[in-house]
Amino acid sequence: MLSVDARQEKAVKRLLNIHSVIACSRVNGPGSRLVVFFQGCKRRCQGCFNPETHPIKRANLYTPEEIFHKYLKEGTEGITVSGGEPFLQPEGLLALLKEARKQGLSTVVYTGYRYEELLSLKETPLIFEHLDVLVDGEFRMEEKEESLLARGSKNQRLFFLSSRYSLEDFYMDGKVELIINPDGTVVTTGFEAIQKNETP
Amino acid sequence: MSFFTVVRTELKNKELLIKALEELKERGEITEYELLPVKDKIQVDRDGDILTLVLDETGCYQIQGDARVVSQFSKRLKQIYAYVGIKEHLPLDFEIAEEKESAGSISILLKG
Repeated sequence: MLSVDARQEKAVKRLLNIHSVIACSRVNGPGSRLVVFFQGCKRRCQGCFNPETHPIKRANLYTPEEIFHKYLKEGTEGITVSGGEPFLQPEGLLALLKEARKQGLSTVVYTGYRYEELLSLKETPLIFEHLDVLVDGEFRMEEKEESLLARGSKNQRLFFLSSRYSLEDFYMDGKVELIINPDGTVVTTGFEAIQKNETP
Repeated sequence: MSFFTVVRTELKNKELLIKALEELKERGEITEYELLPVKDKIQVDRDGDILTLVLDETGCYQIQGDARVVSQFSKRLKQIYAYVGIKEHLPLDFEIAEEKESAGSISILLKG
């Protein structure tokens, strides 16, 4: 039986520090996907799409269960984890992927690390066990992906860790998605940055 | 990592506002609208509920009328205003690949 301190520590490690969540996107991997952007990244890739996710600071703290309870919509095919750098929160990432699997969702993770670098992390084997596709590697502006393949630059590799998907599933119908929410807020996502503050 | 931004919509541009009202009229969500002779006021008839859009000192249009109706209509007007705004200001190097409205959200896919 775990002590109170051990239980508290375990609960804290399951907490995710999240920059933002998109409940339903169609350009962040196959089908309709719940997209979770982690807060914190040390890479500082030139031309990164999301510099506001870089600071390693407290943003929004959620348990995996809270994320699914608040954002999961009927008909969602899977979860895509983006960022920020998801592997800077390996225990939280693992808890999120386990919960996703429990919900019957497919799992995709984008990381700035290379696959080989991740192998030295003790949580990696378990994370990979709960992962369908890993997209690895830093963003390189000079190698920007021009096709509709769901990645930022051509050096990034897709690792199919289960038989659920293949490369053709990662060719999207669009490069950018604009989601106009019922309250009028406009969320822009995808693999090509369009001018910010586009809405007049 | 994919791109992510959120932009809040404010009703600032009169021309777009009129286009949004026209769109709502075409969709049957308002009965009629009228530009009042008083400067920068627009009156909207929403199935008998009369609402007035008034330009405030910050340069944004605010909606006046029955509080129950205002909140709901304000959200929908902002959504359609953003929709017509996106279509009007689409970057030249993008084209619309797909458009879909579900669960209250409008999704537009762009091809580069």
